[in-house]
Amino acid sequence: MDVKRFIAQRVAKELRHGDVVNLGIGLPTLVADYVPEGVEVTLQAEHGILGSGPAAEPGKEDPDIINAGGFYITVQPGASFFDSATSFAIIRGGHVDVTILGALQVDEKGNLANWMVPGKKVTGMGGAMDLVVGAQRSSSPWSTPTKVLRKFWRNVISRLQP
Amino acid sequence: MNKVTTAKDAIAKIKDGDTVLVGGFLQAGCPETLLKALYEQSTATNLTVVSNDTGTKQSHMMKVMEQGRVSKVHATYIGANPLTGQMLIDDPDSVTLYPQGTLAEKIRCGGAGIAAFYTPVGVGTVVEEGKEKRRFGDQEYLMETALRGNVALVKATVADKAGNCFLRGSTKNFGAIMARAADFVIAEAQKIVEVGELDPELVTIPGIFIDALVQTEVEV
Repeated sequence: MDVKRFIAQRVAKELRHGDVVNLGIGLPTLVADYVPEGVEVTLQAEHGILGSGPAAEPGKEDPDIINAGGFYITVQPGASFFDSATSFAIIRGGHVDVTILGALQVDEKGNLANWMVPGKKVTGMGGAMDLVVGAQRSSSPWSTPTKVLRKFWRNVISRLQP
Repeated sequence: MNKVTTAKDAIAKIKDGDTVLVGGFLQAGCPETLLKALYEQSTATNLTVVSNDTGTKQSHMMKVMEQGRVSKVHATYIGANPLTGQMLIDDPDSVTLYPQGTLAEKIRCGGAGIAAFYTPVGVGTVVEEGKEKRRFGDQEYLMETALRGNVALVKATVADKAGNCFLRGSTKNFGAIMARAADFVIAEAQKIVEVGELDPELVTIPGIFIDALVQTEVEV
């Protein structure tokens, strides 16, 4: 098993039955493949879906239904769609139980750097800052900081995955 | 009132120096017909663009930026449009990044007559620089001000000629709130129907917010 899938499998063990979960772009989306037996979760997508399902089968893509990474997905029975202001009322308002985020750096206290390397690459924070403030539990793959980006850190991650 | 017009006539409302709100999240809800018209049939320049992500590499948004007509950007995620990233490196003041929920709420407030709001998001990070901080209870909050545009460009799935719009699936995102927050709002729709043919229960954007309606001709 490659290291990304190993991490995703470990993170999935943090999920509890009934959790509303937001998965970030990249490694966190793999977590959906390893949700433990008997645990049912509802996936929230920041651009306006509660109840996201697996990727759409080739040939059956619906252009109006994408995930936050721009890939065509399906939705589960009981899903709902809404605008961005409503989506962040759900997120910021504390209605998401768990957020799983990719990170550039995380320190041992749970401070997170995830949206820019000064002078090099800037992607923007997207919905990550709202998610770590609003979600009840946050989880992120852990790495030892090699270069301090403390300016961009905040003590928000409640559970680190070594 | 019939609000149907051509993309060229509608886009002529955009003037030099305007702030333009552009709906969509990546390709979902991206008003590509209107962006193509902005690229081909308008010379408005020195524009400020407000968009979640400033589009993908396939969008005409990139082409308008290549023409040098966008001088400022407000966005949350710019990883899909390398030109916006380059703008930020060349001139850090030209691109303002917000947490996505903060940008959404700034626009929502702009359309709802609310001047500002306090959010806990961004406290303790670079986002708080230059902003009023205030404590409510045991938590600190940042004051964020409302944001409006001169013109908004949004995309609907179905619209009636009075401007009532249905936005399907995950295309609602920013378009549904931007349509409330600009002085002149242009919607393009994949399907335009007669007044009375769109079920009122399915209206995502009430027609009162829409000033001009254009048939969708190109998609991202």
